[in-house]
Amino acid sequence: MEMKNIYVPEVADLIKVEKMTELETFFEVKLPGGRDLGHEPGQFVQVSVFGVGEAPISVSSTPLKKGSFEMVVRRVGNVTNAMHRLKAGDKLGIRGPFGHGFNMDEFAGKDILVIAGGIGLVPLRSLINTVIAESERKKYGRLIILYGAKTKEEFLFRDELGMWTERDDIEYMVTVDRKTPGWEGRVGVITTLIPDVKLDLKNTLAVICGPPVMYKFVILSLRSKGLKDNQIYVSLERKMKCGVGKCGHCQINNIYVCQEGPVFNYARIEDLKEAI
Amino acid sequence: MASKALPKDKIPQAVSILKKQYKVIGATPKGKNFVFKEIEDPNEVTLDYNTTILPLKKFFLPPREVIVEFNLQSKEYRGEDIKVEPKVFFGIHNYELQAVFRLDFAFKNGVSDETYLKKREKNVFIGVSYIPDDFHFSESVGIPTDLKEGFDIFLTRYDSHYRVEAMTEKGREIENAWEELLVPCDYEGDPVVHFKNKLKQSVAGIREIFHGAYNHPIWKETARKCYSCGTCNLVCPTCYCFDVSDEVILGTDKGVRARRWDSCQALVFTKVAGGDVFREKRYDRVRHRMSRKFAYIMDEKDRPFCVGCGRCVRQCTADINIVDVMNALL
Ligand SMILES: Cc1cc2nc3c(=O)[nH]c(=O)nc-3n(C[C@H](O)[C@H](O)[C@H](O)COP(=O)(O)OP(=O)(O)OC[C@H]3O[C@@H](n4cnc5c(N)ncnc54)[C@H](O)[C@@H]3O)c2cc1C
Ligand code: SF4
Ligand code: SF4
Ligand code: FES
Repeated sequence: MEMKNIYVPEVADLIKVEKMTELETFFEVKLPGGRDLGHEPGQFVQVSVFGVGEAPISVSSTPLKKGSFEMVVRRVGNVTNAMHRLKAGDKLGIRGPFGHGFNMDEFAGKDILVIAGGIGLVPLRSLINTVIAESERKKYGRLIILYGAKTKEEFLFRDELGMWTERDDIEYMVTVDRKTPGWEGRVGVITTLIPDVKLDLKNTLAVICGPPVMYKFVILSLRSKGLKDNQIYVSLERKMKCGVGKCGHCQINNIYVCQEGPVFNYARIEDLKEAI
Repeated sequence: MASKALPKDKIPQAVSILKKQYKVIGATPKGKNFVFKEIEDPNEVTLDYNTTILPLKKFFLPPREVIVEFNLQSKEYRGEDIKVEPKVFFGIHNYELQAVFRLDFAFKNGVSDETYLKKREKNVFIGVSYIPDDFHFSESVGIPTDLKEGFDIFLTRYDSHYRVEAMTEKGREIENAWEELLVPCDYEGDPVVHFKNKLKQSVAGIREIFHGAYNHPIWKETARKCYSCGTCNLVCPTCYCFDVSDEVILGTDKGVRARRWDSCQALVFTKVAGGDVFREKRYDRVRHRMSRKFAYIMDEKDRPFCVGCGRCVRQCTADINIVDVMNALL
């Protein structure tokens, strides 16, 4: 029986590298021959930097984008700092896509409420860009995006945020934790945006991604608005080493986030004590 | 067919015969303890041991092992070539082989881990009966001493003889190769063996008990004694969590990505770069280990991952006894 070594990354080309903020950089990656990654929104890849190591990173582009895919990486440690030293033309290793993302069929015909905290916008952008693509937009109902960042300096994808503000088919609200010079918008944590949103409760699905502390409060607030647990999707972060359900690091109780997640229907995990 | 027995004093010769065709791995004394190792001198192997310090997993999932090789110059990643040599594991207790089967399940379930599974090819297992000591409790986890599942040959001890039962084609070949060492055997049936160490309840239903035991005081009580040293993970035949890191070979463009045994008892096991730790309390980690053994992971036949070898009890720095912990729940 021919077996494939599941740990060997495929070598890919970095075709674009762009600093986004003090901490975050944007990367565009081309697989050999321009082959599509074949991901679904919300999935992740394991990215290898030669001689340094591997880290799980979300795919930030929509599967509708052909020939390459995109990521945004915050530098926080070994691998992510090494990534920030890479330039267009450099090589890196890719394994995946891994896990389960958003099943877009479930979102067809629904109003979609996206709640993104900080770098949580990165994986959710793959869903947003799938929904707002010209060929797809009719398939879905309203698209409401709530975005929170620490300060305006930490906004990601600024061009796209501007476009969201302008489009009539996107309801976009943004807040910062702390006002810095030049900010005229809302100040406060992301949950302060939720009371202002009017929802068609029967027909809405909410998706949440952000820092671990955020989930509990956002979920409480969505529940108090009347959303049911099975109308809420969360994308969760855990330590990951293998991405293939072996190393044990990503386990929440008995489930492997790298296999069943990182995207979960909240009803699936609400009884798992270690989840939120 | 009348069965045959291998006289105890013929064991070195039996091993010599195996060594002609195979690498032979067996238990040998080390101080007051025993270890599994590749047998050089047929006289060093013993069939008379309680258990070894480390289980067989070290042969299939070594403490450190290369999973990928890379080259910084040519920008390549590739798998390591794994050479599989025929091996006989000689004188193996049944819980030990059951533990190997649990690992097989773990590395096959979902995606197949070739790095592990390759090493499981061309393995022959020769089992031996044993007398449980104060720590074994395998019977409570569905592994009575007469379970011979998966062995090519099983040796059952009677006084100064071992009855030889070949169970596979490979086993019969070996029995034939031993022909001139064997004597007729008048023993039938299996000896009745008693375990002193027992769970209050056998495995059926334990998983359900875990569901209601999340906040049981035993987790905190156990955690107060535990040092989170991780010894219990290292010595457990079914613990397989690993860490991964890259190493560049000094002065070259080459390097390897290696995996190492890891411990879910360590705080850093779930710690992410932002500083969040997902099992921060020691009792969360104590509960996690026990839950993985008895509730979280089950093999394809719904059998738990604890095989009752008692190693984590014998070797615990804090004298924590998994049987006592379990019995507090049952
Ligand atoms: C499903 C998923 C998607 C992610 N998507 C993104 C993304 O799009 N952009 C981004 O900037 N970050 C993302 N992260 C977080 C990112 O994986 C970590 O910041 C990164 O692993 C840190 O690695 P490091 O080597 O720089 O840090 P170190 O502290 O040196 O970490 C060493 C190793 O620990 C593990 N590790 C440490 N922190 C994390 C963590 N937060 N999550 C998982 N493993 C960790 C990794 O294996 C890492 O290689 C994601 C994490 C997960 C689980
Ligand atoms: S060996 Fe004992 S002290 Fe060490 S982590 Fe395990 S239970 Fe705790
Ligand atoms: S948990 Fe303890 S008794 Fe059970 S298999 Fe592991 S080391 Fe043996
Ligand atoms: S990342 Fe290794 S098991 Fe999920």
